[in-house]
Amino acid sequence: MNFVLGYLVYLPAVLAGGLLVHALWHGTQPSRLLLKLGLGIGLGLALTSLITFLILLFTNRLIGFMAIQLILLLCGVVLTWRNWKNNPLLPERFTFTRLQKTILGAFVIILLVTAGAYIIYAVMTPTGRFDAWMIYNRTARFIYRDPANWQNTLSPELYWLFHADYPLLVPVNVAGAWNTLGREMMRAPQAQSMYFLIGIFCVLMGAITHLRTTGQSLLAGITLLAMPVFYYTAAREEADLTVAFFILATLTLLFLYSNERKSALIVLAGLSTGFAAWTKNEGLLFLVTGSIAWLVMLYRQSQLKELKWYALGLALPLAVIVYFKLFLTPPNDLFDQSSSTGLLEQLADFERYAFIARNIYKQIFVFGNGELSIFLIAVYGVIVGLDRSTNHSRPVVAASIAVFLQLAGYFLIYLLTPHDLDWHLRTSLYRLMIHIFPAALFIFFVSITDPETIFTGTPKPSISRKF
Amino acid sequence: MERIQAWNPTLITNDGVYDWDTRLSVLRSDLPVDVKVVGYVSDWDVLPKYNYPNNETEYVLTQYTMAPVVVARDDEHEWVIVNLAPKDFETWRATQPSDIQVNKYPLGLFLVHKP
Repeated sequence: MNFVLGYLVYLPAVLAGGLLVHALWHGTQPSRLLLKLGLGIGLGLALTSLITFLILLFTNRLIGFMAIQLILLLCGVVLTWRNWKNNPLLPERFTFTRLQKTILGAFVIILLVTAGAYIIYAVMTPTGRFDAWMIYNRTARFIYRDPANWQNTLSPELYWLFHADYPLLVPVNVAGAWNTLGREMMRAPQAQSMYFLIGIFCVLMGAITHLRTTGQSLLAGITLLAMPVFYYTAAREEADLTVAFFILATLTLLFLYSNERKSALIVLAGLSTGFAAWTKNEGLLFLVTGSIAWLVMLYRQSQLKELKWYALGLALPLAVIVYFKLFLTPPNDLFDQSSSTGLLEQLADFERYAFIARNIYKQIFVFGNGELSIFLIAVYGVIVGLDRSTNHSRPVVAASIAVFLQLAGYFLIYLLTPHDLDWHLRTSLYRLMIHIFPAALFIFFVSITDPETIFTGTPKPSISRKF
Repeated sequence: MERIQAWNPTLITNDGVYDWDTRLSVLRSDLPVDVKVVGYVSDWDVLPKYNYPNNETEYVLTQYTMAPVVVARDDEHEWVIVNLAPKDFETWRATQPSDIQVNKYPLGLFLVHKP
C-alpha cells in the first residue's frame, strides 16, 4: 500500500506536466505523446517543487503541496479541453513491422525481468541509501519536522559531508509528500526517483522513435535496461536520475527544435536546464554547458534571436537558484576548503590527471553494474556505422559539446577537490556517469544506423515520422 | 538448509536505519526541544586507529535521526552526543571539565551536557 501511496502523491504533478507540455507542443503521434509524457513527468515535478519552495521561503510553512499539483493539473486539463479540436489527446493508430515486433518482444522480456529485479531491490531498500540519508531525505526531515525553522538545513554548522548548499528540488518534494501523507513515508522519495527514471525512458525512446525509427528506440531502451545501476539508483532515493533526466531532456529538445522550429520547445529547454540546476550542484555546471549547446545550435542555424525564449524558460528557476545560492546557503565544500596555493599545486600535479583518467577509463568497462559495458555499445556503433540519410544529425555537434564539457567539468572538479582524490572518485564517479549517460546514449542512437536499415536495406518510417 | 530455515522475511526490509532510529530514540527525547545544535564525538576524535567508513556511516545516521537538530562534528556545544565504547568514553571525559553531566544509554551512547 505504501508503494502505491508513494506514486499517487506525485501523480497529479506528473499528469499536469504531461498535459501542459501537450498544450505547448501539439501533435498526437504515439512517439510524440510518449515524449510529452516523459518531459511532463520532470517538468511537473520540478514546477511543483519550485512553487512549494517559494511558499516555504515566504511563509516558513510547508503548505499547499497537493493544492499546487491539483491547480497545475486543472490548468493542464482546461488547456487540453480548449485545444481538443486542433490537438486531441488521442494517439494515432500505428503498426509494427515484423522486425520491430521481434525487438519489441526482447524489450518486453528484459523490461519484465528488470521490473522484477527493481521491485525486489526496492523492497530491500526501504529508506534509500547513503546519499538519501546524508542529503536528500535528511534535508526533507529538516523541512517536514520543523518548517518554521527550515533554514536550519542550510546551517554552516552542518558538516560538509551533508552538502547543506545543495539545491532543493528533490527534498522539497519529499517533504511536501510527507506533509500530504501525514508521515515520513520512505516509499514516497523512492516513487519520485522512479518517476524520473520512467521519464528518462519515455524521453529517450519517444525522441528516438520520433527522430529515427521504432527499432532504434527499442534498442536504446534495451541498452538502458541492461544497466542495472539505473534502477538501483531509483530505489536508493538519490537525485542523480533527476539530473540525468534534465540533461537528457534539454539536449533532446535541441533535436526537436532543429526539426520543427517551435518556440515552445526552446522555452521547455530553458526550464529543463534551470531545473537541472535546481536539483544538484552538478546541474549548475549543466546550466553553463547546456546553455552553450543551445547557443552553438542556434548560432549554427542563424537563429540566435530565438535565445529570448530560452531565457524566458530559464528565468524563474534561475532567479530562485541565484537567490538561494547568494543569500541562503553556506559555501560549497569544494571551494571553502581549498586554498589558492593548494589549487595551483593540484593543477600542476600530472599524476592527478593520470589517476583521474585511469578511473574514468575503468568506468568505461564497469559502468552500469551489468554485463553490457560502454565499450561493447561503442563496438556495436562501429559495426553498424553512422547514419547519414536524414538531417537529424545537425544538433549532434552541439549536444556532444554539452556532454563533453560536462565531463570536462567533472574532470576539473576532481583535479581541484580538497578531499582525498581516491575517496572522491570511488564515491562519486559512477554517479556523475549516470548524469550524462542517457543523453550520450540518445546522441549515440540518433546518430548510428538503425536496425530497419540494416535488416531491410531501407529505413522503415517509425510510427510517427509520417507527420 | 539451516540458513534457509533461519531466514526471517521481516528482516529483508531492515536496512539499519530503523535500528539507528531506535537506538537514538530515548536520547532524542531527553534532549530539550529548544536545542538546535549539538556536538558529536566518536572514535575518530579519540582513537588513533578507527574504521572510517563505520564512523562516517554512524555519524550520518545520527544526523539523519536527529534532524532537525544540527549534529556538528565537534564537542564545542552545550549538548554533545558521544558515541564511544565505555572505556574510550572515559578517555574522552578526562579531557573535559569535571562538572559535565552525563546521561548513559545502551550500546556505547552518551548525552553530555556542559553547564
